[in-house]
Amino acid sequence: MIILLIIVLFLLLLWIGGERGIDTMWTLFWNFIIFIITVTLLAHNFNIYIVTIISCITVSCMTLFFENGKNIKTYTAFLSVMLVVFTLIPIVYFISSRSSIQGFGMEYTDIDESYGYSGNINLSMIDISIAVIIIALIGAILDTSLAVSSATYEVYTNNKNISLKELVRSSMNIGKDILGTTINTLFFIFVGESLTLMILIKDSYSFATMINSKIFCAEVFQILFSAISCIIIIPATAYISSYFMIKSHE
Amino acid sequence: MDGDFLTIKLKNCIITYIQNHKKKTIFWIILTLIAFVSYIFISNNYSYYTSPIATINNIKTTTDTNSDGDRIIIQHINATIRNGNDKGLPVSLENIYEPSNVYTDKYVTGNDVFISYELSENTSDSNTDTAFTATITGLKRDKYVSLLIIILVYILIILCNKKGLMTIISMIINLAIFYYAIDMYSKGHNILCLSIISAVLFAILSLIIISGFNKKTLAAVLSTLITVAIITLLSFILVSNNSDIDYSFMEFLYFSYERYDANMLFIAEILLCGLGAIMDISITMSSTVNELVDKNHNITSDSLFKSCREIGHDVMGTMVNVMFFTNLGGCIPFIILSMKNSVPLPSLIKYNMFFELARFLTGSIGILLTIPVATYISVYIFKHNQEARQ
Repeated sequence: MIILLIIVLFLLLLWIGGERGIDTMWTLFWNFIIFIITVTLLAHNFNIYIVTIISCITVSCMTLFFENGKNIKTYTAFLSVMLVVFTLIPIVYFISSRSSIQGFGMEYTDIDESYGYSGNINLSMIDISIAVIIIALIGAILDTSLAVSSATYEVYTNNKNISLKELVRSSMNIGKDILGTTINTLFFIFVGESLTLMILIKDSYSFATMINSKIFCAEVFQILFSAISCIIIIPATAYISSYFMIKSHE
Repeated sequence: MDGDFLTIKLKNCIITYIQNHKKKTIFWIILTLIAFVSYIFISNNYSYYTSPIATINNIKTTTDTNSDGDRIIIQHINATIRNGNDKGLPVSLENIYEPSNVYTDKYVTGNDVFISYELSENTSDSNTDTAFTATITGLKRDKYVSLLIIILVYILIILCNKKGLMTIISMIINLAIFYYAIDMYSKGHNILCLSIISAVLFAILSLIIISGFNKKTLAAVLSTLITVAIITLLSFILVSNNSDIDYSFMEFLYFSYERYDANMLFIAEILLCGLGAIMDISITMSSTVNELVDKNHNITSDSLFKSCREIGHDVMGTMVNVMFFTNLGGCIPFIILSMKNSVPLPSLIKYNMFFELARFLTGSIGILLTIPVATYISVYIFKHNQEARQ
């Protein structure tokens, strides 16, 4: 079934995307490889912060520079993505190390020592939970950031005499337009992902048990961090791209 | 001298800013206050819980080995009870965790934990100095969830004002629909029918909230529904003709599932997963057509198609990326646990990542299909309308 879906996806990419579709295909392929390598490195006890940051950098480079070309739009988007990732890591660390959302709660009925999954794996699951949150949000912030910086570029090329303040304001406005749909996209991905979990919770938990349970928090923290990062990437990209675009023409 | 001058200048700057943006400043202050008050309220809501809660004051740790010879860490915790009849009493707790914390938890000072204990009559009367013992049943996580929700709402409103508020309202409505759908499911209705009905509601309501009541929204809603119908049909055909899907790897599926039920759930998941991204692309395409027709009334359909193709190429790559990372991120912990327990990589991809990969691929197919579907529908609606007027 997976192979069939992959074939359908590639045919559609060729039909709809044309040459750009081939680039997307390559990016997707490499992102998959990077994803697998990242997980393997994490499983072999490499430092999670270094692995996470390096995989964020490589994914961003692939998506921005390979798929969308090397230009001021992608450079400024790259800079803002890095800025947001670096500011988020300490916040994610603070919240996940205190709220203990790592590992597998009792809701995972088939993941247990008795099923042969030894819990003594010589690796901190708290660190892994931080890596998961960061890797899950990288795709969404890349999308938002590139959209904002491209829009800023369009505004700037149509009016080269625009002041920094006005340029920031109009790119912020475009960012606000994108935001609603981006949050919607994330929201539905998580709804789809956690449908079975929500059914389980609905049948057996009270509201108080649900909101304090490990598994619910782990899922919700992922969507909340993705949404928060998507919001703060908008002003970050608006300022950085406006500043560099005006600076580059002086 | 210089320092004084700078502080005076800064002060003046702030004062003029406040004077110029009086309304905005007051709004900010009120919002910040509300955020703080609600956080403090939620982190001190002990009396609303019936089960006893204790706050950890200090922790002493010792290490030991368990029966398998693995290292374990024991936390000896001193805590204070925060609610119920024994409020204010000290309590001593013990927590054992493994260094990896796959199934166990490590607590830190300041955490609130749910505890359970049986207090015998005479100990509580005679000596209140020595703390009695209790067992930890779980961590109180509600304050962290609410902290993140408050941060999200706060920055949404500060940065995006009215649009931020609209986004929040649309999320609340969607959550209500979702809750209602799950409620109906547990009463015995078919999950796929429920998802289709709620998908229609989700699409109509969210798109109206995002872009208002107009032709643009109409085009977006139509193309969303058509594309969702196509991918649902596609996944329906694939899932029901495929008998080797191993549902024991699907997370949280209750034990006594029937194959038909599991199939329906899986299709419902696929459908909901792609919905948001499909709406996103639909509204982008129909807004583009709207803008182009507005700017130039005599634009031909051919050049509209061409522009839409360009826009479609720009959005598809990064959207597919969003689907990829957000879907696959969640399965990292299980993959790592399995790798550590020496499950080979190919079977990991085949079984553990199967559901995530299927959702991601179908979602991406949806994204790509939306581009031509939305283009044709919006061009038809806008041009047809124009011709009718002439």
